[in-house]
Amino acid sequence: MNPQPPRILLAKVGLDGHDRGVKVVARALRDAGMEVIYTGLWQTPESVVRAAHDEDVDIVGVSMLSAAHMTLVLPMLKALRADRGVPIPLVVGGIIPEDDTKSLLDEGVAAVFPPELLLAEMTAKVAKIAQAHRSRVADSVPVEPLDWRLELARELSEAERGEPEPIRSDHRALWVGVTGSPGVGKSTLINRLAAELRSRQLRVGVLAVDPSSPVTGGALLGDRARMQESAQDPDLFVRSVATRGQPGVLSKAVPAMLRCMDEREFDVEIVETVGAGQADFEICKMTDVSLLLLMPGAGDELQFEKAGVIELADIIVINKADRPDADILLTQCREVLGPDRDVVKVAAIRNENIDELTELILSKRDQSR
Amino acid sequence: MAATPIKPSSGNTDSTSNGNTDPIRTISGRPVQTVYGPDDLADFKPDSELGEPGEFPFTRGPHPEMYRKQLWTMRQFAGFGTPAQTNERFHYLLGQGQTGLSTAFDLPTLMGRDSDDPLSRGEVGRCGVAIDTLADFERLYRGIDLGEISVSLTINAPAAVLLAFYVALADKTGVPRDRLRGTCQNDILKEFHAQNEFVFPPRPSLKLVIDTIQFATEHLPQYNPVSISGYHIREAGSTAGQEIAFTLADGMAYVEATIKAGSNVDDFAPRLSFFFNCHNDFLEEIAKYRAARRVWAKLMRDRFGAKDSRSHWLRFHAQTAGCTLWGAQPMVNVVRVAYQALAAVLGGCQSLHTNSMDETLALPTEAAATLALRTQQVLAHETGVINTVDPLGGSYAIETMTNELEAETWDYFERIEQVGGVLAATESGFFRREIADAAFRYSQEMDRGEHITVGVNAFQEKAGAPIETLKIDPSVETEQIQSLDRVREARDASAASEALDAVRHSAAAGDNVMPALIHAANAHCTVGETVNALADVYGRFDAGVGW
Repeated sequence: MNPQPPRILLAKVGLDGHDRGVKVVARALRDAGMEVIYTGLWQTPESVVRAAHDEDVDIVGVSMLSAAHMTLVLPMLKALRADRGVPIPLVVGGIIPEDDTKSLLDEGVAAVFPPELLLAEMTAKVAKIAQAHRSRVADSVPVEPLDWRLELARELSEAERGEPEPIRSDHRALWVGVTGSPGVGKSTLINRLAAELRSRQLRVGVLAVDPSSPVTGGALLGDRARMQESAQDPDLFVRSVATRGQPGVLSKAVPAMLRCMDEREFDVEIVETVGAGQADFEICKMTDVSLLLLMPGAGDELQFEKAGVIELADIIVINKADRPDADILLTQCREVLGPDRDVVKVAAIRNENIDELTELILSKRDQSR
Repeated sequence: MAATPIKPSSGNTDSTSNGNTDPIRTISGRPVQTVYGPDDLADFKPDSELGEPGEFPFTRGPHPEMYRKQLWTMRQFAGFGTPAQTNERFHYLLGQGQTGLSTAFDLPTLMGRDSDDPLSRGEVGRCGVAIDTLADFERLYRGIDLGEISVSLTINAPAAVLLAFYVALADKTGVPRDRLRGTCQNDILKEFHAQNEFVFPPRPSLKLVIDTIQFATEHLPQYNPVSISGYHIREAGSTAGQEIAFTLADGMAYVEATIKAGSNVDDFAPRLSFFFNCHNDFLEEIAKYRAARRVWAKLMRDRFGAKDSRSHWLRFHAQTAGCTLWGAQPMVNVVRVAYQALAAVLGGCQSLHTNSMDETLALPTEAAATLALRTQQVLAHETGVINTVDPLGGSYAIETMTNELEAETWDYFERIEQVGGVLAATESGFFRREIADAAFRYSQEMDRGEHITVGVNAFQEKAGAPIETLKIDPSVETEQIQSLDRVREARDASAASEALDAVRHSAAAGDNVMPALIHAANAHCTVGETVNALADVYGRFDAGVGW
């Protein structure tokens, strides 16, 4: 059995952008050995509950500093209760007046954390609440969830806990791997690709892999914050995955998790790697189409990579193509790789050339069949 | 009650007395000495680095006589509920001797959304006043002569839209545009670094700021079109050095972009203003303001070739640090605020907001807001600190700290250059990561008991009686939405829609959008509609996590 750190979803709900607290809390929980998934800003109660279910977390934490807590927390409690047998516990951190704290606890919030609470006390309480939830789930008679997302979320958790599986070559969906150095824009690109694929009526699943700390086992899983559309779309499923092993290596569970998603009849399944080291090679071998993301200013890296993942990747994507030195990188790529390799320029943030890249990816599917 | 630090710090002895322990540090982590003396200032050149008050490099202040000639503006930030409720508070504050107004908007307005937007749920009128249309601005400033009172608008992403409302209101009430005084915060860069109230991507956001600067240069000669802000950077957890380094870097980005857009530096630079935090570490804060003035003067003269001395000076508003206030023993906050305010005044601020003791719990009650104002009035009229300019100038400690903070600022400028300049560093999240690192470090130090906070981790009391706080009536939201519906029904729908088209057209053509925005305000277009029209052209920005 693999290690199973507690999983917590942290969210900012509503328009309030004060995220100092939630970021400090995220780091503290990671250092306490938890897998922390952060939704990013401007979530609705509905999107938080949906993310909590997709990610199959043990506890949800929301940060509230704008006095809108009563309006926003109560619908979350209700939605968490409505969807499954053992509701995921909800904790609230931030500035909550005393009267409202009492009301929230009465309504079923598991804990309210004021700003002055020590991080050590907060993490201990979160761990306890998460653990208690796991025990309750284990002891409960499984309720048959009607929603396929909930079923898939649990299957993914089981696959993550189970023994590694071999890579299946007979999968239904097109498997796409995305790799590249941290900061090159992988999550943003995947967000755009997913939107483009969805506009073509294709069902999309995403596994976003981030590293676990080899010391504490904790992880900060932040890719979801750049994939906000998934919160609304019924045919887009995003799951954050921690490597739970050596950093720089793809989670051992990825083949099994891809298999789970394949059984749910997605058309395209995208895996985002950590973007460092051995995982790059693995992902190129594992998927049908692999993308290596580069950005302008990465010329030295290109030389370094000459005998690396750049040889294996099916498509080289130059992101941030609006930068002035993008064409220099394009020329360098052509020099290093020759004229026959696919090199595409995109600007993911500006949604430029994503359609062309999508065409190219889908043409690889047609070639392989 | 007993003094009971829960985790008494053990390392807090001076490095000079015991080689085994860490040095004592400021809350920003800079080591401080037991005593400062001539050796610390051996290389210091007072003539060029200090100068006289009112002279380059303005270390000692922008004016030769400072508060003897003009007291700082006592400007308490206020806004809650409906425009009519805030108008009432404005009149009350002016009646109590406040000398300027500062408008706090609610979150939907700050984010460019209307009160009936689904994401506005629960936030209407909560953290500030709800504004949807020009009619709301009329109610907000009813009975206030905009030609006499300086008014600041604390708004950023939709700042151009709200400034257009303000100009439209002045036009409508017959106040000449050249008599408008006040400040629009309008500093979008720090939103990307710290406060997260952005809508459009960084580059078009910057274009909007430039449009307002150029519009103000031409039409609003007494108005400060941007208040380049470190306050929020500090609240998000930065150090004192990061606060001034990142703020001045943002300032450089605005100056550079405005010059690039065709303006002469001396035409607009004198109207740039700044906004800094006033935190707990007393001497470090005073040194911070002095260092900021000196660095800005050098930048403007040497990097941008500004010749007018008013382009060299840095004028700033200060606000005491909201993040230093605690819910436990809230009366103690009054004392914190008073010391912080003293630091701002000794550091030479031009205007000041003193926080109310209850601001960590809710928006301030009238009584708490009055006490905060009184705190400034005591400082101004009873302590005598206004009689001498830069009274700590020449102190070995203050000058050394000023030098250190200046050096830290130049170092940061170099790092920002290395990552591609302010815009590239903004887009890559450089500032956000630096700030988040500092915030986490501070929280860990708090956890280890390395900082004593009275009433929180020392000198605690059994929970006392809670103080009275301001409650916002949930009916504000319904009331505001009804009022918005009435405006939508009464206006000429095709004129509004044409005005929005003109906004889109102007933005797409790369023109200065201010005239189109003023036209849209007069056509009763809402904040949300106008921002959406701009977003149709500019796009919207998602920052991701940015740790």
